[in-house]
Amino acid sequence: MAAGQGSPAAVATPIELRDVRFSYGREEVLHGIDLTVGPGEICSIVGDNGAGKSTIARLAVGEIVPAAGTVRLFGENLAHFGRWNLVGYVPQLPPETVSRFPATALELVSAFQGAGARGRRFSRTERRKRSLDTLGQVGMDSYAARMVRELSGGQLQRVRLACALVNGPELLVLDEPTNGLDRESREALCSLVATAHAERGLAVLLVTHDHRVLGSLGGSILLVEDGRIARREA
Amino acid sequence: MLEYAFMQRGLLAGLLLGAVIPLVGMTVVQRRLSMIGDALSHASLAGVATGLVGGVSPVAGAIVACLVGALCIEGVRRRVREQSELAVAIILAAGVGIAGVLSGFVPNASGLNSYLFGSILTMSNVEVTTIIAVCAVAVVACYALRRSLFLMSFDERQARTVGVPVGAVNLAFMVVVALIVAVASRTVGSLIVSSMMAVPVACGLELARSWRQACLLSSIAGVLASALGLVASYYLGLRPGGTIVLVAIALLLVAFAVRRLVRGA
Repeated sequence: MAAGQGSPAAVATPIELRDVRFSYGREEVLHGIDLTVGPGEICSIVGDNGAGKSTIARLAVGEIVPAAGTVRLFGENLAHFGRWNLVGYVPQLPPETVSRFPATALELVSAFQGAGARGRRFSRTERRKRSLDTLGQVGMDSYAARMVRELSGGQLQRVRLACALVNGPELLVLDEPTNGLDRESREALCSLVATAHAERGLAVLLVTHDHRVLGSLGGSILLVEDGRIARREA
Repeated sequence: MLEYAFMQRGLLAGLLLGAVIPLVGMTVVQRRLSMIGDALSHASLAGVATGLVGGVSPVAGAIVACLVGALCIEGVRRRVREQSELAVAIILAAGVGIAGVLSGFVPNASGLNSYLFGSILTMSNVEVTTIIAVCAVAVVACYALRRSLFLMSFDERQARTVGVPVGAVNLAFMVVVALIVAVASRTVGSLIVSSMMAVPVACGLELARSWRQACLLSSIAGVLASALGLVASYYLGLRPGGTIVLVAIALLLVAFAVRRLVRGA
């Protein structure tokens, strides 16, 4: 299960942000962020809405580019990073994206597998088996043929977690994964993330405003206020 | 009716476009880009008018205008994402404006009219060959990019982090859409082509139980609409482009009814 242990990537620092600044237009929203998530570490970013939490996650996975500072993934500058199979990302998703999307859970997980995973090309049978295995790990194998638009919020998030895990990443970035979930679904999702962390030695960067999530995952906690890291807690 | 060469050419072009437009339309609809089809079809009118005034092939003019329009929209989309809808509206307005002004200089006004509502039964062999070539390019592109287009339709941001070259795929896809819209404007008409991107896809989405099924059913609906529309237009003396779209809408109503029946059962 420990997909990347012993590989060169496993000893490199999964996320490293140094003096990162970011602006929307002329307004600087992040002011000199320093953040390191080491191999196998869990780091949670908390803060109020608009504090800049999700912007940090988006910078960390290269979705947006910093105005200043450096972002490194597994020791490589983000501009040159190509080993995306090492990164599993679950961004926030507007509900309307899923409401008409005509794909099954299996199709979705299969598509995330192999796309851009350099050096890892699988046959259709292998891909299907790996997808079903990953769906099984998040308890969704019996829903493989179900359309994603017919899944509940909690089930959909588990399928999205499977999409992020299917390439055997060494870093998992989760942006508000428990938004809109009831207590049972929230706890189930946290438990799955904790299991993936424990079994695979995954580094996890979690962005959340839900303090109830923090207790179940542990790790370090960064409080972001007005685009700055206001406090760090172990 | 198949004893006539013009009907053979019309059917061949209609069936090919009926199958391929919804295939492209599937991604267009899922990515909420339906307005782009509309904008490019209007840009194609400007190209057609330019071709007719300048004495060059109107289809070539439509292809160039659609490509320029698509590149402009994609350029704005990349730089100022939140202004992309405005870019679509500007291309649409520019297309209508240029076509409107140039229509006053077109020697034979019926030439331009035939591109508004299509003229599938008056196509030459060269035009049919162009349609075959463009359809082949579109099918190959959709197949080669199928995984990237699927992932980008679901969530462009997540697609980027599994290594999908989102910018390059977007650009390639926009070129394909531009080519399809340009050649389809000759057959089903500039004002109708964007409907052919959406209505058969809506049929597929109603009945499909997977992405693959949705693509297949959308194409089948497009082929059925083209075939039935052409036959009806031949025997009833109707305009083919409009008839094809009306048949597609009738198929959509059937799909609604079938879905309701299945749910009831």
